Amino acid sequence: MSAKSQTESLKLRVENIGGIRTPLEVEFRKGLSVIKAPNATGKTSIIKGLEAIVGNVPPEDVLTDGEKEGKVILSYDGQEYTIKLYRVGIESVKSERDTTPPIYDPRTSLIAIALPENKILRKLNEGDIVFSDVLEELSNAEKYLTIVEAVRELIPEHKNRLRLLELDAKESERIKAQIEVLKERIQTIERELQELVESPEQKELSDRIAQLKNELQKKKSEKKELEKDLEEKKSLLREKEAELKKVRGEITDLEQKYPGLDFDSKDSWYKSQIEALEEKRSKETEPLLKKLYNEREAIIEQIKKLERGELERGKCPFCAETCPKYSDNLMQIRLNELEEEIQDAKAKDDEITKKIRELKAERDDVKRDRERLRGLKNRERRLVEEEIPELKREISKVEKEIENKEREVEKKQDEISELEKKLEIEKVEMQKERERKERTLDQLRDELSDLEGQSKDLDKKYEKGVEKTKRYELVVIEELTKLAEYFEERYTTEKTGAKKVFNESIRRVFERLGFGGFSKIEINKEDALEIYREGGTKTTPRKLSTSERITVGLILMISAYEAYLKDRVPIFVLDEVTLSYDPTRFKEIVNYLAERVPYLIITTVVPAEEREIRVEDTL
Amino acid sequence: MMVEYKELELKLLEIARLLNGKEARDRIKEEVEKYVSEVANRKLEAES
Repeated sequence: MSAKSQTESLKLRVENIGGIRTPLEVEFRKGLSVIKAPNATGKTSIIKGLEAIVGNVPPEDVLTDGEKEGKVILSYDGQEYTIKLYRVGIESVKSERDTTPPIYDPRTSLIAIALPENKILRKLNEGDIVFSDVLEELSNAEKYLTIVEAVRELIPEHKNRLRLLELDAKESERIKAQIEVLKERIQTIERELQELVESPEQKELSDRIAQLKNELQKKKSEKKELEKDLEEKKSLLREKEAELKKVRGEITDLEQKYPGLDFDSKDSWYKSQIEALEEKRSKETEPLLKKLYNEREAIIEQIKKLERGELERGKCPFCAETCPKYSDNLMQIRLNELEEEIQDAKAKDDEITKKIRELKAERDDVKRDRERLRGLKNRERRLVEEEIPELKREISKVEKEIENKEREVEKKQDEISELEKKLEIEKVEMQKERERKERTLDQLRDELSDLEGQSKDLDKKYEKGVEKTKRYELVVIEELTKLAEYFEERYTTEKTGAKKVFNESIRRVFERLGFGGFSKIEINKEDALEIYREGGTKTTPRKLSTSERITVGLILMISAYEAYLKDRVPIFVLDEVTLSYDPTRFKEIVNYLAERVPYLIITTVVPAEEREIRVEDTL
Repeated sequence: MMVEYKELELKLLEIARLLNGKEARDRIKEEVEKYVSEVANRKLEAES
């Protein structure tokens, strides 16, 4: 291929496009290119391939049925541009470009490919006069519409986020409030648990038990004292009874000693015996002794006198005569005799005295026994009548007191035991209460932990925090609303501008082509197509003939091409079938386009026997 | 504001030119999200 052809032509290579399965390459030179081929040999498929790469056509309308992949390669201005089509699943087909060619424009299908399925031609055939969609496609209005739609889709998404956020915020608040309530409840229960160590009732019971135990101890001490006293009294009683026994024994002994108990006679007998002996002593022994003593005294005096020479020897000291008897010798002899006589008399006297003493002693013994017996009897009477009964009464009294004390002790013990039981019950009840509270506490702590986890999760969910995120979403919604409004305005401006440009272009093309039969064609304020016949009669596409409808359609397409694509897409495609109704008008249009479009491509049918697809520069 | 929008507008128009239907809307949404997020973050920062 020459350098000229590289710049002066565009080549198209198609594979698995429409009816073309095997790769097919066609070259379109500048100017007129006529694709000549019998029916159903791939003319339209080539155009579809061209449309796919320089315009927008649904990929599923392009890829060959049953094929997984297809591609179109455009060589233009020394550069290759590829679009790949591949099937995803059963229905869906996706397209992928390597690079978008500079002659690409999504409006190409609408205004530069005049196949029977062209939108403008179809609308007219169907009698659809509302051209809003065409205006949108022609201008950027469609793009703005897409932008508005996208922005509008975002608003509810963010509103929903905000709603969820508010729900989360409410939930977060609710959880936090619940956490506070739970914490308070936990504190209350913890406090109650601390107070449950000893209740006021238990304290009262414990104090009462302690008091009763003191009282019991006191009663026991008192009882012990009484028992000691009783023991002493019993011991005393035993002593008294022993004493009584002894007294009675002594009494019996004395009664046996003195049968008949005739103490007076016995005493009288002793008295008479003593008196008799005393009389005997005073009448016999004492006078004799006195006499003997006197005589001895006198002799001793005489002897002393003799010795002193006061007396004459031989004279009787008593009679002053010579007395043989009281001579010196005699006196001595007599004195000796006297001594013996005194001794005898004294012995007799002593014997009597001794006897008297013995009798007196015996008499005293009797007296003593008598007194003793009296004393014993008195003692026995006192013991029997007073002391022992008194002691027994006292013992009985003490025993009763002990019994009373015993009863009091038992009563106190019973009372203590009852209170201790009560205390035990209280303690058991308290333990149960503690366990119940501890269980509740565990449950509440678990609940709290769950809620704190949830709260943390919610906090984590919103990095900036719930309130800030809410504010963020509000700002986003506000911005999105502003953007939507802005692009809506841009859409309207674009569409209005497009309409103006389009109408002007229609007027120009109409003037240049100078089709008879019509005076004016335009899009009105409501985006509706208005067609006026010569003479100013307004008509509708439905009232037009097929030929007229196609003419109006082509005028609209060419006007749009001139207004919007002329400098962007150097291609215009005409299907001969479309124009076969009116060869003269067809020629006029071809000539008109050939002057204005660098690559005018026309498809035409040749007889079936030719079989091959050919591209020629003449019709 | 207009200047700010202009940059975004050109970007979005280019996406709308090159892509169709849902694909175009999704890409536009991505860009718009990015833009409003920046604006919102700036505002929040200014407020705090």
